[in-house]
Amino acid sequence: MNQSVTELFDTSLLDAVEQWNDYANDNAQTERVLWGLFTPVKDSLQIAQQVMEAVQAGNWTLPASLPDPEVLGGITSELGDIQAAAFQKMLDEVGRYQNTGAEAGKLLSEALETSGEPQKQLASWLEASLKVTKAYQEDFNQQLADLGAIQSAYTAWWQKSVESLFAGKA
Amino acid sequence: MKHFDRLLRLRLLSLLVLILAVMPPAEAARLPGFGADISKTSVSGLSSGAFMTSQIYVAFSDIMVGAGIVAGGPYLCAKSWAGNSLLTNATTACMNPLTPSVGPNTPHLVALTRDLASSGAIDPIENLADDHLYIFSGKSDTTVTTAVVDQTAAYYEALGVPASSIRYDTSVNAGHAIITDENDDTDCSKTKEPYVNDCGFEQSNIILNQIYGSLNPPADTLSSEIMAFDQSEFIDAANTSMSDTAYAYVPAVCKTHRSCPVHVVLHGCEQGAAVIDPSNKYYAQTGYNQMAEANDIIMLYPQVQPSNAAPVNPKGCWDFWGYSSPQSADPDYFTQNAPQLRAIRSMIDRLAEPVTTISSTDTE
Repeated sequence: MNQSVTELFDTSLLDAVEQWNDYANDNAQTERVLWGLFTPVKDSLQIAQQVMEAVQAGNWTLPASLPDPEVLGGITSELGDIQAAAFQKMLDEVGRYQNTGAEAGKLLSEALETSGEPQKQLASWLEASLKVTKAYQEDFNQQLADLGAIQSAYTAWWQKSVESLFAGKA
Repeated sequence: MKHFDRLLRLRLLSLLVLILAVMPPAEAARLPGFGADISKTSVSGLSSGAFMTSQIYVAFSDIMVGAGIVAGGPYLCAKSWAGNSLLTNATTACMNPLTPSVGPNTPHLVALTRDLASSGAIDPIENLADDHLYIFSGKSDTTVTTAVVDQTAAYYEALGVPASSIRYDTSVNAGHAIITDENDDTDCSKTKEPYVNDCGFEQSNIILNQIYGSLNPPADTLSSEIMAFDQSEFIDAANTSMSDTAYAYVPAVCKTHRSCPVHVVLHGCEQGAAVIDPSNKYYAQTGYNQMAEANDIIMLYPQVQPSNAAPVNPKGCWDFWGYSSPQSADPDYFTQNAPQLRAIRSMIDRLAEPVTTISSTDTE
């Protein structure tokens, strides 16, 4: 009757559960950090102030004549580059998800084929599913970073375009 | 009797071990003055340490003679695009922009720098004209890409540093790291903790040679030990994320006989001693101290550490987007009055004070 609870379980299963536990704790920690970085009010104030300063510094006014075709060409060309790069990022994401999906199927099916005691089989499946979850999370994090870069690029392009069309023409 | 002696000795030994075990760890000593010649100060760093390098270098250019920037963008980079927050600019335009055209907004940053100099928030831009710079971007660096570092070179040229005084190296197939000639370090093209890569040369040697001219080759042995000192006494703000302890290497000759210049070395994210000790990779194994020994230069290694809240700096980076002033929508992380810059400047000034008696606890 004095037998410890842990002695009832296979060590591989205990290790697998502990790994999931660590992963959950790490995720909770990351989530708290991300919430700390999420400051929409401050960011809005920051952006509003920066835009006001840019407008004042650039002396933005409506042009009296049609824009220079060369300027327009430059703006269009940069937009084309950004769209091409954004499209490539999205293609890369699809490729990554496909690879992860294929790898996940392989890992999980191998885990299910593990012969032996039920506890060992369960441990094997838990380990494989943790690997798969981490791989998908990595893809998702990369996707978020890519989306951030794309959004930042369009914002920068917009500012450059406005400045080249309207700045200092008074 | 012999048996009794042995027993006594064993007991005394046990007692000593017990006393040592319960003693609190020795506190780092006060950074002494060494009468350093800070009119020849320089600074170098990797990644966030490279962004901080530009901040220190431009803000305090009165005392600077040069800088080494490894995988870093231009001064004020996070202010590149008005429609993005500072953090968004820092993590996109200043690191890995979608296209080069939406990377650092150099003309805008140059104009902002001139405004800051005119207002007296930083030293005059004219100081930079006779300085020497080393800038480096690895071909395999996808963390801070060459498109960003190109703008660092363009920025300094626009501020009047002659192209002939800038050594800009993009020829090495390196990952995101400081470069060494140590076989045990990470393979050259990889980007992996602790971000110290073996590419077959000591980058610290090249940086210091570029800044100070023809220096002696690195020394084989060191005349002093690396000094751990109390960094907390220099911190006068709440959210700096700076560690309580920092490090310095002071060659023996600089402690008493000679007024030596100071070189400030700034680690990158996840590279502070709080993260990678006990390997001491950055402040003991990147070749700076051997160059310091051979050329009578004091090395100063300020330290920053991770912080998950107040401020949010989970990777222990130097501040180049404003985390050290979390309440402000317009944070000051780049002028002489910025919390981290103030602290580092105070450390440099302390080194210039007259030689004081050293009661330090040396490490290493």
